[in-house]
Amino acid sequence: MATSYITFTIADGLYGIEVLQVEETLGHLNRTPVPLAPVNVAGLINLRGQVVTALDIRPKLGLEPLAPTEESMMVVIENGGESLSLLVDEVGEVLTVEDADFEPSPASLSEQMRELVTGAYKLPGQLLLTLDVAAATAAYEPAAAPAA
Amino acid sequence: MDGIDEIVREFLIESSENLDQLDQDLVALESDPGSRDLLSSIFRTIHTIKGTSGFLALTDLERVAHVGENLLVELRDGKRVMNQRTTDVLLMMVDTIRALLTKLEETGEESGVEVDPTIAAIQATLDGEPLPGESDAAEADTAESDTAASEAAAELDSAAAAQSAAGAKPAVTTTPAPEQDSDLSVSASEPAQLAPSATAPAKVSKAADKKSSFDATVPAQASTGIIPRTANAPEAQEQAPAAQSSVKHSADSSIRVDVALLDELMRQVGELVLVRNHISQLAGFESGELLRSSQRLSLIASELQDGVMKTRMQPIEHIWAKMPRVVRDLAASCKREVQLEMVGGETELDRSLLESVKDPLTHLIRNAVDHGIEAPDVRESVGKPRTGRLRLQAYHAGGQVVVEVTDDGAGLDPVKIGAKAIERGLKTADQLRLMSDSEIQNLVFHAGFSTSAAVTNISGRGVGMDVVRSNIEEIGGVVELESHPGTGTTWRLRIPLTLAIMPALTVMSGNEIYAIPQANLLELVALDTRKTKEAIEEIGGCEVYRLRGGLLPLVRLTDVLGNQSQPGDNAVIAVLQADNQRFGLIVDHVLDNQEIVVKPLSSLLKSIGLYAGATLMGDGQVALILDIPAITRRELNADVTDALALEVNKHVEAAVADSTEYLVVGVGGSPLRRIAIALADVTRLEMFQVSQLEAVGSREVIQYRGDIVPVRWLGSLLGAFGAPETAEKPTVIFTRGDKTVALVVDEIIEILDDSGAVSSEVSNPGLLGSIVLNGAVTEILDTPAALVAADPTYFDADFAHADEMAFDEILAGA
Repeated sequence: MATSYITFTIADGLYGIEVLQVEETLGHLNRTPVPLAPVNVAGLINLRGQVVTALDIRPKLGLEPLAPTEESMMVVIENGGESLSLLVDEVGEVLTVEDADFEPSPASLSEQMRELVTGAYKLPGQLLLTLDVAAATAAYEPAAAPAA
Repeated sequence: MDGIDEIVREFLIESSENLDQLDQDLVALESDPGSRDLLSSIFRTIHTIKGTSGFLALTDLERVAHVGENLLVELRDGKRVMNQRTTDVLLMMVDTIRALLTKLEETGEESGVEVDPTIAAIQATLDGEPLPGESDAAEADTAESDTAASEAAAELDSAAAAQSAAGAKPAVTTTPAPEQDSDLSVSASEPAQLAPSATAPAKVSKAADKKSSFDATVPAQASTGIIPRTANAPEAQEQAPAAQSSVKHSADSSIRVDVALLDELMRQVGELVLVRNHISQLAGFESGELLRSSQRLSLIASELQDGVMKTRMQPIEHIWAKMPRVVRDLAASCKREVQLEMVGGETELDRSLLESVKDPLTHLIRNAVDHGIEAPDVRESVGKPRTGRLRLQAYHAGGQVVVEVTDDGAGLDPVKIGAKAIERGLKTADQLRLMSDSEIQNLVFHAGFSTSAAVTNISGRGVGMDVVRSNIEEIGGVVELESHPGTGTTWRLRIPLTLAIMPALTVMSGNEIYAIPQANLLELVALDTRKTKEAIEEIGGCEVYRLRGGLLPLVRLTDVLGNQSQPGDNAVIAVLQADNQRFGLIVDHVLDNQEIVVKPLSSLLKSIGLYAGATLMGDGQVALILDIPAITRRELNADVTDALALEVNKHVEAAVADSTEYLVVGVGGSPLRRIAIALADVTRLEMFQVSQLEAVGSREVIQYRGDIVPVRWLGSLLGAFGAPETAEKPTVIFTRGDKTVALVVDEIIEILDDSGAVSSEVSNPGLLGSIVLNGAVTEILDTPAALVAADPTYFDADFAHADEMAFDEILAGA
């Protein structure tokens, strides 16, 4: 069995989300900040007349959140009936990977990371980390789980 | 069809959808007799049909639905188990209702369909008696053989047409079923006589086909008297096309569009606008053709966007328009006097939401008239005006549309409700003791709860509140109940905005734009640099501003949003009000006043509780809409401003409550005398040709809606003469029970209320006094005296014939 993933990079990591869960990929759009929102909410974007929430998964990956004005590409995903947009550094190609190359996340990973990163495909010279859409789009409160 | 009321047409469309569902439900119920969901659904559908037909004075329809509902109540309460026979009679009821509706759509009235057999059959089932002559099955059989015969006839008919006209007759005489077939023989022989050409027989055979398929699907109608009607060939010949055209007409004037489709359209228009922007950009550097085309594209795209947006938005007036009629007819049949006020009808609501609000609102109004407002005599005995007030109000608040139905009736008595709840086994006495009055009052939302002692045609089966709540909750809304025993009840529907458009003020705070709903905005106070420092004072660390002598608590938007506060040179105080509290919100700049389209926020952001939604600015930027009530609750201590605000409100309400609305008419020549007639007494205004007036003895009368109505000239009654002679005169119609009186006046001037007006008493016969309305002295007519002068028996009328009267009026209007 093979599965297709949309791949993208954040910092130096290569990540993938199953093609079926992705609505589209976008270039940069201006974000309107939302005061008092959870840390991983990067703002609101105008996606062809629809207001879509842009999410930054960097804090969840233990990285510094992107500055509000910094340009970023986006991957629009669908979760629970609403569209959400993930900020990514660069959108890569669609990769079809063999299930045989998959391994679940190592037990040494923190529980929160294991919820987000479901596993890895062993590509030549690189790992493709697969993301769980529900975990990627959940609210992130630093108080509940301090950023690593 | 033009004669059919808008309200009737909507009822027809809605009911036919409901009936299709009902058929499915009933059949499903047979295989799953215990399903409460199905039973409730069926029950509500029939209840709705019954209720609406009651308003529309469709008595046959109402009778059928009523007896059917009785049967359903037993089923719902578990007193009866669904069986073959119950299903049969229920399906029969559905078919009869459908036949009545078809008749109504075709002719505008329901007469001509026999309902008694159906009612008798249901009643017999209820009473556990055998069906009135188990002949039903036999009849249905005949109907089936009848169908077969008509099919055969139809086939033969076309064959006959191909050969010769004479061929048709023998074909028919060979068909069996003797009695009813005489009708069919007409249908078959008709073409032979009427038109020997090939096309005409084809037409008739089509009509016969249609009719036979009709019969085949509803064999149970055999006993309802439908067959004789549809089987009547000449009529069927005319009716088939008529039915087709009327069906088309309904569909033409009203199309139901899937909301998802509109969403999709909206999305695509959004994309179109984006492409348009891009093309305009490209064309900006060119000239000539491309520029012109792009400008045109731009225009069309904008118009399209507006149009698509409008398809979803409608003022709530749309569903309110029918309420005065509903209230009036209902009040007449319940023997209540009700004055209906409607405020905020222009509040716009998403069409889909509007649909969902309509039924609950109707239920609430029915309840308010039937249960809420007391009979006039009762009201008088407790010191209230005879006429009850029913108030409909809609407004935007807290990012929601609020629709209130307020009556000044008896209110909900917690003691009675508590007793009922115990009786019904919903609560124990111990549980009740722990509940507050308002919690007890809220028990009325419980399914199967009803406090009405007698089950009436109007309400009292405890289904209404159940429907109201489930309908509103389905669209994510809330129903609130506020009732004070003895003084009245307010039902408050809070409906989410989703796509509602609302006027808003856009402001800047930091670098971001925020929208403040106009509903919360009272005024703006601009502070410049020099004034800012002195103008804002502090009380224990809290900033306040002296606004016309009063202290206004201030809240900085930057503080609310947790942004770095950098007091700028300029600031604007937006004076806001929510939940009876008033405060000033300090923002950096005020940008603009505009109509914004509210976009829902992701669930991730709803929990912040500061934003009512988001919207798009003209340049495509996203702006957040502030939830002012939420900010109020968060930032203000409730007690501070409460007392003041309430005081102000009381004054306003008192002024409104004391006012009376008057119709001001003019009589006589120069000077024209202004006469005020209490609007509550007036039924209609009409224009009559003077030549239409006829004489009966010494009195003048006019034929109006099939009645002979006594006419008086208000001018001669009050001794005002010299009016110019015109061929047409405006006439004020008064109706009480089955009595109608017409007063001819010379001019209809205006409708005004008398709040704050100066009045004096003058002793002139026929007048109550005078008052200054709109700057001119206006005489107040002693309406009862004038009416008695026209018809001495006017006030003798009781309301015994109120129902028939309403019915006549519907017919006259149709």
